[in-house]
Amino acid sequence: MRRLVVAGAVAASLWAPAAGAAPPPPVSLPWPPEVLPRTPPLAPETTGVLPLPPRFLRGLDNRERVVVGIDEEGKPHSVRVLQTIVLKRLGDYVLTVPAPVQSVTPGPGTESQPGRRENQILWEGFSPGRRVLAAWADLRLAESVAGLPVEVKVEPGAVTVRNATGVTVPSFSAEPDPVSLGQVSGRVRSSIKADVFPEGLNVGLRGSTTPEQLRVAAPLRVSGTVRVGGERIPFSGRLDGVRRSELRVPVPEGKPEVEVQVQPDDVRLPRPARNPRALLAQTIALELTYARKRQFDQFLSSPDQTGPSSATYVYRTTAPRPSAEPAATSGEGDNTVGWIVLGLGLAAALPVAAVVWAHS
Amino acid sequence: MQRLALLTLALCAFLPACGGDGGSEDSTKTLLVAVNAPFSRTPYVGQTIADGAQLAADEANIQTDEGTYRLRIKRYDTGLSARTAVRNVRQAIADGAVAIVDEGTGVNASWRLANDADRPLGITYQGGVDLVDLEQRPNVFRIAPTDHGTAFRLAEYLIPKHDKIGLIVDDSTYGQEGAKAIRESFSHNPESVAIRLTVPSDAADLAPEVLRARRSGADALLVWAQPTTIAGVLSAARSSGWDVPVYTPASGEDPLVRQQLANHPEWVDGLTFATGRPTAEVGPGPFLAFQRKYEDRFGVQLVGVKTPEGEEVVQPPDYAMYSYDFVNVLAAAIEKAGGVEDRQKLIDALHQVSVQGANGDHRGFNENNHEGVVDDDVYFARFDAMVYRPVKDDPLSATLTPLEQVR
Repeated sequence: MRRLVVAGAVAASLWAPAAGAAPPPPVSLPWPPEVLPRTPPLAPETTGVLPLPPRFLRGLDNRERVVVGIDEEGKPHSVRVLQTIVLKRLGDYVLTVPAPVQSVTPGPGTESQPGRRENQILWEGFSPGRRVLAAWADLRLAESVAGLPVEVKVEPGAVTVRNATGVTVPSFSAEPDPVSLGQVSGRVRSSIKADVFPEGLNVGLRGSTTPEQLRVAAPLRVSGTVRVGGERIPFSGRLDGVRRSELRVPVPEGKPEVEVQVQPDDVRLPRPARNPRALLAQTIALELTYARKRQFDQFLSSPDQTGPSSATYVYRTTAPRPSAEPAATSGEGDNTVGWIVLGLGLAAALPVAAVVWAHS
Repeated sequence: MQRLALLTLALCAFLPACGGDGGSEDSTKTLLVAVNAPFSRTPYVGQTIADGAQLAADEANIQTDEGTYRLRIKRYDTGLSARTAVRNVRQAIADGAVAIVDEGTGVNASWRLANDADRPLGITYQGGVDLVDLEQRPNVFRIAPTDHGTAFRLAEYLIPKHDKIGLIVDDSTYGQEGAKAIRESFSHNPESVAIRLTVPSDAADLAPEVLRARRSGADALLVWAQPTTIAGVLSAARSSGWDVPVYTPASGEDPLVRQQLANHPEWVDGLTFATGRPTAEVGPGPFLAFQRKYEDRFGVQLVGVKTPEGEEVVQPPDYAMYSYDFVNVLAAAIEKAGGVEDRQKLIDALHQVSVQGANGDHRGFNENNHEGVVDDDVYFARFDAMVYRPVKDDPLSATLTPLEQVR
């Protein structure tokens, strides 16, 4: 009898979740567009809208080379992007790339001329099956620097390259349903391997969630050289932005000239955690790290947001170009005041002169 | 009492609200748009430009904070004379035109008059390379295929097909602008050129020139000339038994070519011309809708020839769509600029607005480009039995739907 009672109790405990209240609905993993910063890709606040929907939004590759001019201290003073879009099928195209553009010029190998509108690069035409669209875009510095992946600091004795992609985002921990978590974890991993954005990431939970903060960053492959005098110091490394964020290159006394090449690196897949709670945390971290990495694959947005994209960032010590912007106190303003004064003077003087003339 | 009336009148003179055109806030103002085109010398071109502009003006209902604007079209005949064209632009500005829709003749001089008066000038026929210059001629825009685009597309299409091509241009402005463009487009493949000839545009007989081309070993002719010259070349070649393929720019589709060869319709067969596509990937729907409106308003444009089955051939209003599109872009720019008081603001607004073109394409200009037809949009069509169809051996042309051309 006692065995029967124990067996009944065990059965009841196993049955309880199904027989009682319905299991909590599956919850979505933190959704990257919601929790991650919006940029990159760069997105100016005001962008003209085309009267027609863009066309040719699939079947294209996007490659970018972002050239950042840095001063002697490593601060950016110019940002230029060579964006190359390769259309790989036949059809009309009308594409816009929102960007804080100052000027746009045709890039090497382009088979069409880029257009420019306020905060837009504009492409339109017909692709006979394959068409290369390439443009150099000079960007407004203030609206571009926040989207750059590294900061370079040049100090006496050292050059430091810091991964600047790290952000702290809201996440959660919970006791997950192992079966649904297994599926979601597998989907995230296979998507990262295939370099496509994972979708439909809902996981069943056993109990409630606990809010947490999570630090994520785009892993970067960094390489470059520092030239001081006649000496050339090469360096390279992987900055994942969480465990390792900085690369410090000791340099001898002198005026270093820096060239750094940065590329978002593949997200490394660790062995799946055995503990479901740990596996959930690992899956969320992988999902968001991959999403953050993909953001830096598009400094300027690709017309095909989910298609293949890559970006290489090159930081170089260069002399700042003279500013094209007019000085704050322009001669025109001074002239305007002068003309007003002259006008007022004449207005006052003319009647007086008339009276004098009449009485003369 | 008389003094009071005089005082009131004097006060009114200082108050803009008492003026006529200012009116109340909801009054409709009419803005003049000039069409400067060769109505007397090439009536098809002049008429089609003016009708396209008129159709868009009829439809324009421009709403701004300052009130509602309507557009009125006034025609000025250039007679294909640059001097007259310049005089017309001066007169149009004096008449108060807010913009000029232009065929292209005389623009090398007239743009300056328009620029000094801050008037936009939109070319909707000629494609001359130098006519539009973003830096030097900031007020000049164009919605029409460029000679540069047409010439490069022709070179790209012809060079793989033919060993030796005879290049014939006439001495008209149109022909000479074309000569510049094809010189550039064939510059990378000089071995493909059998001969270059310039012929008089008013020549009665082109047999000697065509014979020279034949003796040069040409196995195709590219004729960049006025319609009469094209008809003359076809006539000289076919009457001598030379069945050489003939290619032309857009002037090859001018009804005048078929009218002049109406007695020998088979001589037109195979004539292939390059021009801007009238339909886009979205299909013929938008253009057919435009054509219906156009024909409802102005009637069909009869070419004056018949098919072998006895059907009347009509000319689709493909060039009318360019002037139609330009006036629509202009209307959108006036709306964006909030009127026409600030002329520079209107020209700036032309860089930022787009409309859906008559063929379903996006039409507009931008800060980098004052060309409203991209070079990619040039297609090829070939005549057969007095009507033309897009060719099948060119990727863009093969995607296009043939237009109905008989009634």
